[in-house]
Amino acid sequence: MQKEGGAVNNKILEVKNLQVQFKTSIGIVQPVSGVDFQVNEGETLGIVGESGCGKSVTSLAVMGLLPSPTGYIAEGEILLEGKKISHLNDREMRKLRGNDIAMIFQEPMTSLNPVFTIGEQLSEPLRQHTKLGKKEIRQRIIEMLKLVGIPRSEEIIDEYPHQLSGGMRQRVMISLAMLCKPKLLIADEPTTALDVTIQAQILDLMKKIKRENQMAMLLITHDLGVIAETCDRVIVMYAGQIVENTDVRTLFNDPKHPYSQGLLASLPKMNERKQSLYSIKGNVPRPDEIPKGCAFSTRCPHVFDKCRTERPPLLKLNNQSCRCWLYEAETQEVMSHVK
Amino acid sequence: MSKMILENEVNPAVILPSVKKRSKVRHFFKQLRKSKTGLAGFIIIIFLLVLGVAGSWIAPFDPLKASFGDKLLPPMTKGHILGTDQLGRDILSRIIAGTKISLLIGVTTVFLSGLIGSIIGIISGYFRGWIDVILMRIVDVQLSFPFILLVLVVNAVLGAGLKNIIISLVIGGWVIFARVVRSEVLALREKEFILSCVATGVPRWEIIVKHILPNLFTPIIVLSSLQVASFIIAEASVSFLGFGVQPPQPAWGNMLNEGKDYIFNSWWLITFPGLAIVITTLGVNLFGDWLRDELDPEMKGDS
Amino acid sequence: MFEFIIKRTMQMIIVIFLALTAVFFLLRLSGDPATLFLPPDAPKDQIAQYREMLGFDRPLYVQYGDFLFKAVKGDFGESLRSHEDALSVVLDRVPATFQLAFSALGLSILIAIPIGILSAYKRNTFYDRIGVGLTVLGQAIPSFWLGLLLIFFFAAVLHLLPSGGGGTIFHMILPTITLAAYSVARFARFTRSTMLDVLKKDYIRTAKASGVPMMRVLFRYALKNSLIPIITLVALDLGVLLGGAVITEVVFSWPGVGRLLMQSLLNRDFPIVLAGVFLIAVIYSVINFIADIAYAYVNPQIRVK
Repeated sequence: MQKEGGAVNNKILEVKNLQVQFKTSIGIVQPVSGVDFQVNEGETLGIVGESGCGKSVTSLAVMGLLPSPTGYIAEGEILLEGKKISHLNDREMRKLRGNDIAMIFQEPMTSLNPVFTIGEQLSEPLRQHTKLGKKEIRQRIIEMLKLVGIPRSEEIIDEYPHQLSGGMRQRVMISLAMLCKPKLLIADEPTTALDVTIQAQILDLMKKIKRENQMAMLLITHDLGVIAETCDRVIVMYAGQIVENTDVRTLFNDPKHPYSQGLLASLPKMNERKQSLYSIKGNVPRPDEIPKGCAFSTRCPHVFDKCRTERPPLLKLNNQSCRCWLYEAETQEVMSHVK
Repeated sequence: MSKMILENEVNPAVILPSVKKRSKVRHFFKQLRKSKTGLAGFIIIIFLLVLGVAGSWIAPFDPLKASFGDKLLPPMTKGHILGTDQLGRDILSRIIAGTKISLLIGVTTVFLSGLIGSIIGIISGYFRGWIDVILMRIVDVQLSFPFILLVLVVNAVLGAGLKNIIISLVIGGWVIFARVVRSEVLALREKEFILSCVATGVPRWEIIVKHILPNLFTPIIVLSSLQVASFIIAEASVSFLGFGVQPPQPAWGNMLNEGKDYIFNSWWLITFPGLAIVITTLGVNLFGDWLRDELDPEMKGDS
Repeated sequence: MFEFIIKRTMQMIIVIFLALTAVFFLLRLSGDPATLFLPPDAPKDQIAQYREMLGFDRPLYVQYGDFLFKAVKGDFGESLRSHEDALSVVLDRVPATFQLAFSALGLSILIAIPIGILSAYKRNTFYDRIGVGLTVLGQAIPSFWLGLLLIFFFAAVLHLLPSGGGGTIFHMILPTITLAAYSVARFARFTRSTMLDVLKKDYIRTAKASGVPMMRVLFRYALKNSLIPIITLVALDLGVLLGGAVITEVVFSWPGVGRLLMQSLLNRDFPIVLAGVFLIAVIYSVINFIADIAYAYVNPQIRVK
């Protein structure tokens, strides 16, 4: 895979009808049921949803890190720069991981190995994917650490994770991901475990890196504030499916799906005082408890009969796609498969 | 605001024994049936209990009756399914008789060392201070000596016999209970529901009995299940070495001791008592493992 | 790290001191020492004479002080059998026991850890189930029985190996296997469960996400993380190994400390018993001490504060 940047709007990641299944003691559950999206070069796509909606599983599927043999891709394709990667075996995926696709995770505290130095861990992607010698590897690491804003990078290399703060560790994770200049960066809740002030710094850092490298970024979060800050486009997931797919401005100004509306309404607004906070009634259903018809029907304030019996397809509207029977009249164009 | 405090105060970790007992027993058996190994262990234990209690009626011969004409008969001769030993005594009957002793020793020692160890652990862990320091030093010293050797030396000094072997095992065995219980108590002390009890002026004894004790049941049971096997093997070892339970009283350990001089020609003298020990330990371990997996969900996913 | 070492050394000294005290009082508690040392039918005045000769008529604290004073110098009295210096007699036998114990330890680590690692990696497959089954069985078999069975097969039936005594490598094979068996089972089981825990951790996921091949993940990363609990277990089990050595030595008539201790216990040769117990306590404490230091060294969270 070539490393030079292509034309703008180059499709880096394309996911088609992804279905992921897990074999559990109670049977087969499907945490992801038919998800389609794409991420272009230089673009940040956010996936937002509550815990259990399948967003993390989707990202693991892209990386080929589903826990096997329990988890597997049942159907669908994942394409990286037009080439199919979802069928690759582990050895072939390995060549991509940390190289063309990189991922950073939620908990910087536990994501770094406590018994190895920062330098030892950071040298791994370079060892695996490049033919650089020890000295060059060390140089690259020092440069990268400086780029992510870590002071005294030459000393940090020989220190252990427990000697660093949370924010520093996440910066180390980011440099770990960036060392081989990946085309796609997947960030799964990168700031959730950090203090608010550090959050802002990390998000700024990620935006800067994306800009400088014209990287595609897939940002997974449950925090709408982070979406607003960093993303170009957003997909909202619920119970394993995409319920709304739009750009950031439209999501905040004109959300169509009742779930998206609910999420936005739950945000406390800084300038208003309210009696009570709005919350969507009910809970996110477990993968084995998804209701018949529309998955959101049990909690939707606008629910009517059709919602309970037929699952809505993803409908294409003017500015967004939305999986809701409310908009059936507006369009006949169906975006994805009915499930 | 006040509503919020109330909701945080009641900690679901505190088990209220009386309410849950009945359904717990039924749940227990249902879960047991699901695990092949746990069930196997359980069956072995029940089988042993039956042998221990009803042994004297089941045994075909008198375990103590010597018969010089029938010395060293191989298995399946003259009605002796497992053969006879050097004094003509039926091995099967002796093994059955030995079951009672092994079970008795196993259960009593675990119970006593668990009791003593737990009490010391609770006192040490809850009250801390100099009593904790002293008790733990004693524990450290004792743990600085291999368990079997300790039991051996104590038993040698005390003299042979059933009572003394039990005492020796308890002296050797209480320390691990003390240590484990103490560390559990230390962790519990810091938990919020205890702190709120203290803050609302609940008397110490009540805290210990009503709140800490119920949460200790699981770790104590888990530890006991691990220790029973050690005690059984320790007793067998000590008896094998010539201390512990003395002949002519049949114990698997001393049967092996007597039998070892005859291995070359009469292999059955050592094979069957040894097998008895293995099966017993296996049963106890399998059941104990299952019990541990059930009671301590964090450790699940091991096998 | 340095303060840690100092602290542990102090602890070790206290422990040894308390062990000595316990040993002293153990002897006193077991009855009138004079009657213990003499044959049961000795005449009364001989007992009184003996008592005076050995200093048992002095006040207890004087005896204790004297005992401590002498013990620290290594003087535990003379063997009642051979009248040689008790401590020397015991020390003579130490190398043989060490030989046995460390061979068994080495053998078990060599076999058990790879089994444990691969078992964890291939969990719940056929190989794993067999492995787990063997380890469960291994922990249920008492070492002396295993020893007897091995003697039966290899000495009595096959005439391949000697059934007892010391001296040659051949003499060492069966006792080492016997002693190692239980440890292999325990270590393998523990390695497996520790590895399973480690493999679930986030930092292993990070390694995989960086493109590290599985074998490297297992043997370079996961193994080092598992070493910490494994070292702890090995140290703990050394005590079991030492205890097991006693039994194994008796079964195979191996000329080590354990066998000496057993014989002395049977013969009521108390100076030897005291010297032996003391030595074992010291050895065990030292081993634990080394294990603690090793643990602190391997765990960077303690080493680099």
